[in-house]
Order: sequence, then structure tokens, then C-alpha cells
Amino acid sequence: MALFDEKVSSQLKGILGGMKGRVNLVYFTQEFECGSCHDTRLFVEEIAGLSDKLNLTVFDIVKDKEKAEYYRVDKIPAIVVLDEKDNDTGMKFYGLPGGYEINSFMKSLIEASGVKEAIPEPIMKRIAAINKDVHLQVFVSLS
Amino acid sequence: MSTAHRLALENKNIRADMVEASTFVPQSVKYGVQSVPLTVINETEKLLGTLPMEKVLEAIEKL
Repeated sequence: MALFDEKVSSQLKGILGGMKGRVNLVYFTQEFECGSCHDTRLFVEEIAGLSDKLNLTVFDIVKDKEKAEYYRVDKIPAIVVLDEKDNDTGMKFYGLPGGYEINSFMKSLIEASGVKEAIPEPIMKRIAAINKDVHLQVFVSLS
Repeated sequence: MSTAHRLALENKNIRADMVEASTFVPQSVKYGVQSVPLTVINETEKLLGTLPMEKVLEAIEKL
């Protein structure tokens, strides 16, 4: 049973049609899936099915411990966004990117594929100048 | 959220997580999440609300 109805599927497909390169998604869950991990897995599987440019690999945070450490995943459900060369884009989603957050999720896929809005040069310079480790965690709500 | 993710995309030193607050209650409690969005920087600094990129950059530069 599909998560999205035809209208929504069609809209999402349309958005994903704007992708340039491929994007690889890595999803972490575990064998005895909690409700949230199960729902998020269905979500990411359905999204990945909407575009040929999306590839999904599912890992188990316990059985694939080294992978979890490599991608710095410390909780599940976790969606890790990689570029087509499997480089970590630095973007992760912990939990289901539903409700309004689906827009953020779609945007991250488009950007990871190489389609990005222009950012003013002074801002780009400031971003490039950041030379320390920065971990941003943005808490959002499903509703 | 997109702002944080864009920063992560543009600089390898930056990584950004969306964290769904009601799914991750211990973390929400740890950071005192009362309203969303709440941006936590390096597990210490907290910024409330949706912020323009300049504001997030300012906070990062001050670290």
C-alpha cells in the first residue's frame, strides 16, 4: 500500500525531476523495528522509488555498527544523504521528515544532486572560512 | 532546516541533522526543546526559530 496518493506522488516525482546528478540515500534502522523506524523506512523506500536518480541502501545500526560509526549515526531512524560518489554531504534526517519537513527533505535531495540556489559571494566566503568542526542539530516537529 | 543543511553541503567541517523532536524525547529534554525549530550548535549554543543564514554563521563564527 502506497504512502502517498497519486496526486502527491505525482507532485513529488515532479520535484525530483529537477535533480541533476544521482543521490545515494543510506537508511539506518534495526532488526526489531520500532514503529518510527518502520514508518520512516517505508517513507524513504517510497521516495527512492519515485526517481531513477535515487538509490537507497538500508543498514542495521547494530549489525552494521562500523557503517553507523563511519556515517556518525548515533540514533535511529536515520537518513544519511550522500552524493553520487558516496561522499557524505553532511546532511542527515533523524526521524520521519513528514509534514512541513518533507519540503526540507526534497530540497536536500535536489541540492545534493547538484542543483543549488545561488548564495551571495560574501556569504559563500564566510562559509568557506569556517575551519572548525561544527555540528548543527535542528529540532523540528512532525505537525 | 534547509539553511543548516546548505551550510553542511558547502563546508566539509559542518554537519547538520534534522531531529524530529517527538521521536527523540531524551534529546529534546536534554536540550530543553520547548518550541521548534530549535538549532543546537556543538551541543552547547542554542538558537530559537527559523534563522537567516547570516545569523547561523554569526553564531558559528563566535564559537
